[in-house]
Amino acid sequence: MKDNSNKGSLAIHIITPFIVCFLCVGIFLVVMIKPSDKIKVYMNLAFMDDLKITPDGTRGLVIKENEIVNNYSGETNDTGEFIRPKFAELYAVIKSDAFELDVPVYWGSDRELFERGACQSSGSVLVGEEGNTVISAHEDTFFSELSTLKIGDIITINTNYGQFTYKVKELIEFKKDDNKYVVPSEETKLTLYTCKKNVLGSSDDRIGVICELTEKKFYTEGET
Amino acid sequence: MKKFSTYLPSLIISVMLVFLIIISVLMVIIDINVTAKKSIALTEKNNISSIVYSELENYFNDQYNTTGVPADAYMDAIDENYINSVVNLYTETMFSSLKSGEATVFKIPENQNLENSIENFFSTYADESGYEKDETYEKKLDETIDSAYRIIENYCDVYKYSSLQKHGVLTKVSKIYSHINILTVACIAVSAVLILILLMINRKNISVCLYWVGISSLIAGFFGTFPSAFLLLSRYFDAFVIKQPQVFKAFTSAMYGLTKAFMSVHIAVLSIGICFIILYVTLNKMLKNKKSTDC
Repeated sequence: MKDNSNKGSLAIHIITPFIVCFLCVGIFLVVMIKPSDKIKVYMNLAFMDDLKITPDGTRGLVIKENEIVNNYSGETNDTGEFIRPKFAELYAVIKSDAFELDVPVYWGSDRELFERGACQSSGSVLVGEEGNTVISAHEDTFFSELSTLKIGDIITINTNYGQFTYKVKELIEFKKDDNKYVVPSEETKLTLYTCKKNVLGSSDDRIGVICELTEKKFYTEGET
Repeated sequence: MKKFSTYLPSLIISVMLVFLIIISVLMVIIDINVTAKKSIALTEKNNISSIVYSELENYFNDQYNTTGVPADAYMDAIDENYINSVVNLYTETMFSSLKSGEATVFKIPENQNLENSIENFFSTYADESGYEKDETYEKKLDETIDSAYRIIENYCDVYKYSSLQKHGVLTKVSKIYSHINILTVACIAVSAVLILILLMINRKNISVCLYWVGISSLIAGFFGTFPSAFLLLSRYFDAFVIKQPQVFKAFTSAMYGLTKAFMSVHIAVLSIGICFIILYVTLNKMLKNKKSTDC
């Protein structure tokens, strides 16, 4: 009986490290799902510029990296002048509590621009203007957190002519050939969209949000 | 050890200790190795400045047909020492941002030789072509000088500070980096508390604590050593698609260095785990022999 007891004790001593090992691996895999996505996004953002041999655009595309006013402390007005950007110009920055990172917005859609930030369709209206403002970005970089937006979330867009606040009012999903959310409209709204995440490759589905404009602050001339 | 009331809590604490040991080692390694001084030493050891110089030369040569400015106008005025100073300044700026949590604006050191060289080229060209040195000429000259500085900045940014700062990544990382000392001490303190709890749970047979701590060290050492060895032996980081050679070299050498340090410490942790287990087995045998002779 003493032998059996000793054998039992030995078995426990041998099995225990394996139990600890499997528990650790299981916990690690579960805990690392979200951080590994974030690390991938950060790596994409950090090294993405290196896909270019030159700092400026290739194929004749001149990309203008404007400094967008971030902490404007001067007077504002709810009416003002819009400053229309040129193609490939950085003209806005999207901020939201739901996003960990600020998203730069370029005017126009181009493969290179999508690698530097979100792109606004040049057929849509400027941020803060009447009509449909349509902005899209890749789901594995700048709009990786778009799916976390909920109805009621606040989105702030800073431009060099003003700061505009939107509130999410609708979550949308549509096929890539379906234009109903990206066409011009009379209603003033902001449409943000990206590809739906698909582990097996690129997706034909798009997800996004429609937001209503809640506040306009045009910068008046003076302190910036 | 066979009692469920002591086995289960000891098992849970052992699992927690594995993670705490790995995290503590990681924090210590980051605290010691991820510093401006070490990063600068690494770039100098890998001769990053000469890679940057060579890449700049290739770039300006490639751009000659577009800009009309020959590479010599730039390269004759800058040398590897200047490049080295810009690379080091970028690194120091990055770590200053990481420590303070605030985005520090990088200002490239002026190079009067470079400005004079470009100006001389423009002046000679204008004189030979009979071009009037009017406002347009001055504007073009200023744009070329600004562009030269911008390009040198971009090529010297080997740790991608500007990208990380622009996208707000640096602000996120600095929240951990700026408190790394506190976090390290906290991890070690929590590990000590867990070991004390383990002692209390197994107070009737304290030598079992050697077994549990030994198991935690062994498994932590295993998890730290073998994946690191795989990353090093398979040259894993070489597979990253980073087209700028200087960034590739800086990134891969930093990652291999950190991985080596991580693995080395975990080999020590693994050894400590094995020693604890051997000590436990020896003590156990001695106690059993003592009991049998007492009987």
